Amino acid sequence: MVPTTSYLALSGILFALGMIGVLTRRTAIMVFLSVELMLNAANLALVAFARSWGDPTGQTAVFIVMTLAAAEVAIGLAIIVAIFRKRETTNVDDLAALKG
Amino acid sequence: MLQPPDVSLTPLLPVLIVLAGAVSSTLLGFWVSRRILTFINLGAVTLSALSLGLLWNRAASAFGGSLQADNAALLLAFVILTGTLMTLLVTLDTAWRARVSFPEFDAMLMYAVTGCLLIAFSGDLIVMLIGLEIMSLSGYVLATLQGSRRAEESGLKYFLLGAAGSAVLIYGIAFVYGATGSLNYAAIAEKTSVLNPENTAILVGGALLMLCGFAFKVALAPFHQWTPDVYGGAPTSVSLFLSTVVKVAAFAGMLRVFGGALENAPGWHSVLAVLIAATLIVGNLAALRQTNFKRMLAYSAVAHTGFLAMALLGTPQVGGAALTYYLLVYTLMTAAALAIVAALQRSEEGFSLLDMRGLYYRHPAYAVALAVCLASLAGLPPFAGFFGKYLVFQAAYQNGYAWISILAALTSVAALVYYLRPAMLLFMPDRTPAREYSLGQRTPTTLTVALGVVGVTALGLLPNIWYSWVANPAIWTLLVGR
Repeated sequence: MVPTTSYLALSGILFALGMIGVLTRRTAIMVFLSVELMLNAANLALVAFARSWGDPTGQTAVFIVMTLAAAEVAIGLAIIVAIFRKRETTNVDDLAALKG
Repeated sequence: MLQPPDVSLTPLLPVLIVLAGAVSSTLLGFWVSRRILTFINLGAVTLSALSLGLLWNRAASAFGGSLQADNAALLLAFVILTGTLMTLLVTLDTAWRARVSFPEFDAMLMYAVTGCLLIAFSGDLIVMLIGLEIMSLSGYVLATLQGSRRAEESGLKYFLLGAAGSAVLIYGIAFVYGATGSLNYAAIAEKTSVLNPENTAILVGGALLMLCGFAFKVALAPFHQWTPDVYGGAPTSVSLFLSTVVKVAAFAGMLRVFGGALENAPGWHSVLAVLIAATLIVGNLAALRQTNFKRMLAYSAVAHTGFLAMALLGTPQVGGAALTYYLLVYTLMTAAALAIVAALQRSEEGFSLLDMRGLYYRHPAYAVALAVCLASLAGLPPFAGFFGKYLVFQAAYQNGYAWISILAALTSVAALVYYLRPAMLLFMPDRTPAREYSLGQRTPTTLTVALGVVGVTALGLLPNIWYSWVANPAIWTLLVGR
């Protein structure tokens, strides 16, 4: 049986990769994909903890997080498409009308 | 042996009424105009507020404790509904000028309020998360809905940073679950009261991740960068909604989680204190050098996040009362100030500070109202902002955070400068032609402004009108529910 710490290590690596992606990527789609990676890291951690506690609550929580992620995709892609239609770019550095 | 599920819809009544408003806006939007929908929603919000009275002192709960309609939830819900009422009244006559006057706007707004109420009523991390996401996702749409370049930019920034914040929060929830084996507030509080050294590291990590996630949502520095862009770029009525109702709901979640479930968890107090110190400094100093009034109010909202979060450093008994008192006052004064901006602005960019010169000679009532709001935001004595600040300073001070109280007092002095400069400009004589929209003075907006100004003055002179409701420490000792 794989120990819980291994799952947590993998989940930590996924989360860190997602965080690095959010901070360094300049395309809205890539930033958004990185956020999804962070959500899946959280899902993996939830499942691993649910197994170590022998408690199904964590597993049901994963389904809710997956649903939330799907809703987020729907709204996020709609916003990104709306912006792309007007500007032909989704580079976040080009969005600099508001500052100060 | 299977237990019958604990389904009881009575404690959910305020949420369900608002949800009914949202669903009816979605469906009826095909046939009737937005104006009628707004009136329906105003009715739904009022009914929901009345149903809070029905549940008062009943300490009802449902779904095995996942939903708590205790007095704390009802008081927070009252603040949320007050903010919603003010937003709806303002949109009644500014939405068409902002080009967001379609039924979807009302539907999204009411869905967001449903999520906000769910956070206040949560007794479980998952219910809180669902409420938070309903609120945030509707908020992203509201910020983008206008379809202008500014609104789209603000919407995308809000979405990307908000989604990252949610992901951090969910990761925090996973760790708190890992340390305690439960997602229920009461069970988490029970498990964390006796610390198991093996799990402490995971618990502290989870609490800090959740704190960062919430810091994104309420705009605590250094997670506040989206705030001025979103509040400044979105239509003013949307900024009003995001800076009052959404912020109140996020604070309701923080109070439930950190004042209730994780109260005994170590470590997060000192990190929160550092975040608050950064917020107070960054928010107040950045507001000093703004030239656009709407953007200045956005930074003022960041600075106020710092003041509001100070209440969380106090014990829940003192801090919960202080936070809820201040949240209502903050809602009233911010909503009234932004309502005036929404009514008088030429474009959705708001107006620059210099345009406010001599406003008193053109719109005397609005100018006086705006001066009252600014004085209250600055925390000057006859108005309620002063009492609110006093309560949160006291809450932090009593629990051993004297340095934060001193820092907050010092930054409030800096805040006086940026609040009183526009207030003085309002009364200076000016001969140049008016630069604001002259037809903006309409009854619904005036009602909102009157509600805000009268509320702020009345609560300042007689704080007990609201404080006597929130002051009972018994309300805040049972934040986790039973």
